[in-house]
Amino acid sequence: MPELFITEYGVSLGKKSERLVVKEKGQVVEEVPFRDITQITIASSGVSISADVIRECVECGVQINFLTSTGKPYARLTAPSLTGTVITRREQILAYRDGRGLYLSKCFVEGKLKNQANLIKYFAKYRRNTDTVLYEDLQAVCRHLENALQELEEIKGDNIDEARPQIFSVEGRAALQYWGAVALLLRGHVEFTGREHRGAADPVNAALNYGYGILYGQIWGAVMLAGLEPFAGFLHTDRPGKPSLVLDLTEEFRPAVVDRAIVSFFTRGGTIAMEDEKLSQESRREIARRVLERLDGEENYDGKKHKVRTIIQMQSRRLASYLRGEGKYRPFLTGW
Amino acid sequence: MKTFVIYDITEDRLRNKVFQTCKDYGLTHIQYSAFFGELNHNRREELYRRLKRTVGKKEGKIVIVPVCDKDLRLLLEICVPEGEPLMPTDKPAGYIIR
Repeated sequence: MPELFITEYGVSLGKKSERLVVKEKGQVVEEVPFRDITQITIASSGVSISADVIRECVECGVQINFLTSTGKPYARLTAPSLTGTVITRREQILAYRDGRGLYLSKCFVEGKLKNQANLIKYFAKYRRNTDTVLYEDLQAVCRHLENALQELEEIKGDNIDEARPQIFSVEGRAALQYWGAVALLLRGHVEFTGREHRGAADPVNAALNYGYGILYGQIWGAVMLAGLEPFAGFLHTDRPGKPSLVLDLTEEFRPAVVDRAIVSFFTRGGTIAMEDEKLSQESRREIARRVLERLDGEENYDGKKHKVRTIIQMQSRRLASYLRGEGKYRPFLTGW
Repeated sequence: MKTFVIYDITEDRLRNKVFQTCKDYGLTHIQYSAFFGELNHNRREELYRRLKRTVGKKEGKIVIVPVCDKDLRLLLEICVPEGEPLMPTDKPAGYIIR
């Protein structure tokens, strides 16, 4: 199923019959049936989009995301009726004060830590014979991450507010180890001194941030489709305009989707060009391509192979069912 | 399943409508009155109903033919001097990047 990702300046999106028509300088460059589109992401300025397109997208359940040049989502269009899921939302808000919020927060972090360890193992696997020193160092990091998991499990509390400082402490220390391992993997390929969040000017951090932006868009869409409220999270604190639940659920997908795509990109000799401390347009397109490729990659889930983008959707639905008391929630774990 | 849609319609408006509907279903225009592409059972049935309705009581003939991969491997084609060959017209992979 095509996902439309627009990175070109001056593209216009229109509708003809039941197809989306992509035009550049008045020339038709692509026609895609609406029902085949899963999502439209506009990551460029100067793109025009007609009201007919918006209406058709809404009717076909296609969400439209808008990203800034750093990958930060700044708007999204969805049907207003998607928010009509009262029971799920009521339970989601209530869950913050009871054990469910804490349980879920621990799940998200557990997923993140395990997937970080799995990613390190995945990269270590291919270096076992070629670089034994690096292999040993990576194994050591995995052991640290496993200890962190142990610590995480022992955290207790009545609700997430009580336990949050401890969870963050475990997560923070694990992150230091993990990014240290990523630095080891990238050594000799590209300079990377550590993880920086917003406004990073080095290629690796800028690429990661851009990739996470794309992932947020995916998860945001999945969360909305599952009838959840994107702004009411558990692990991430409430702040106006902060999609905490999206950030929460993103945790278990970061390593498998974005980190893996970007580390592979650099270790296979990929390079990133920066313009005014930002990613160049060409680089942005390349990163988007890698991340979307990962979303189409397959992983095991429930004993069957599924595309990662489908797993994101299933995890969101499972989260909603758990909140309604209809089932268990388990973090998504990748293979290595 | 790969499917051919072939039609014979004299009235311009009606023919154009059929043409647009075939494109809406993601089929590729391969000849003046022929389309080809991937359609599953449901989509094919849906297209059939739609076209039937579009034609209504007007004059027209449309054939929708699914072809299995095994038979499709025996496909022979001649295209001189230009024109896209039929088989590589697979739909784009999971996403489109521009």
